[in-house]
Amino acid sequence: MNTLIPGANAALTAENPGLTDLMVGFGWEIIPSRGPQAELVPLAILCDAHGKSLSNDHLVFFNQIVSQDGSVGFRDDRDVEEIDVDLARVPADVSKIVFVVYVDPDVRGAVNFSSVRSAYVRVATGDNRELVRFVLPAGENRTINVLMFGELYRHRDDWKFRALGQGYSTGLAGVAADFRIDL
Amino acid sequence: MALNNSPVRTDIGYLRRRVRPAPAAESAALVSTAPENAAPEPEPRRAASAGLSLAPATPGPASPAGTAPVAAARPVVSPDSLPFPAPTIDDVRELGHSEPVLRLNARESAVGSLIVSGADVAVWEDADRVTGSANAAGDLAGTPVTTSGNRPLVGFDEADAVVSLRHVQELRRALFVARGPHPLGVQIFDGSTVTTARGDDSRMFVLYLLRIGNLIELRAEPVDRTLSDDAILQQFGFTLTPHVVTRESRSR
Repeated sequence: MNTLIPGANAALTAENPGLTDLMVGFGWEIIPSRGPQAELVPLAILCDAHGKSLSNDHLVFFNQIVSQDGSVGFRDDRDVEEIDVDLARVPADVSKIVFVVYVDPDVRGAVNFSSVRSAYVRVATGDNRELVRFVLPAGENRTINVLMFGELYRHRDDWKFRALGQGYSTGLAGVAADFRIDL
Repeated sequence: MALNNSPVRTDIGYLRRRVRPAPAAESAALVSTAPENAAPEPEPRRAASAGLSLAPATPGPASPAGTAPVAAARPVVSPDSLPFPAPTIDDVRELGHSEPVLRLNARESAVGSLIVSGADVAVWEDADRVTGSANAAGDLAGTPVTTSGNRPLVGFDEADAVVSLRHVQELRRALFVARGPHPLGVQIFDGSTVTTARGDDSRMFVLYLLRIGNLIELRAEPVDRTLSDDAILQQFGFTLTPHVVTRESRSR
């Protein structure tokens, strides 16, 4: 198993010939509260060569659980949340798939990562053989409401995974502006 | 005039878009999936029909080769999984007689809070048919539904009614009633808003929220102003479920 630090990458298909089915798992712990609690939502964005979402339909999250092409789909099983990626079905115009996790922006509060601990993303084969894991560094996340956990990206004919760990303090509006999506 | 509670007529042509029929050889697999019953089911069942079709002329596989079994079993989003076309929140400024309905997209239906201003009463029915109501004064009736985020699925936050869209899949329908001089207003995460029409001396509009699959539909429904809140709930088929307050086990 490979543990990454922010910015590091791992070759997936080059080191695992024939790999097509990936499972991207997310996990975290929330400090319990009697009041409103942060609710984390993973979101996959299928991006073009310029790093922008191909369309609003190229998003996968709990209420849009599969991409239009069927290559990226949602499931909830071994981790807190999981997203399946079938690399063979990913359209050629998708250059990377960015995985962000946002805190649902409910108007009743608890909308940042301050109560979140031990967040991670891991990439495994379809039969759950873990290939790489990235544990997000603990930090002062009181102003962070979206975190980019990592990204799958094409490198020549192969796919790699890069650990990111970058946060937004501008929420989903910032994500929407950066990736040119309507949220 | 009494409210018409009969099911929505799905056999009326204007509700659906007519497209060129698929070739006969393919039509068996591609025929229409119009809702069997337009009443708000959480996951609308669909029946095959030889009539109108919203399906594309060809299935259009996402990838010609290399499809793994897991991916093959995964449902691919297609136009035939959508209900009949409806205006968006950007198309409608006021819900009323001329524009009675709009539908939010999957993202608008699921991010943040749907805020209803001007409501005096909010009623909810969750996917398990658990039903309750709240008013702006803080009174509750029926059974509250609290989400895993420790927030009411539908409830009041100060003067506004709020729907927790993170848990939209847990909601079946809701109703909002305004008795004051101001119309109901709706705001979603991206800042888009819509209001309901004021009505006239005898009738007013209430806001009816339905979840159809993963989409929220908002409807302005006219009701008699003289009706009590209970009578309005009854007209819309809401029956508040008794609330049983549970306590920690007292066996020790």
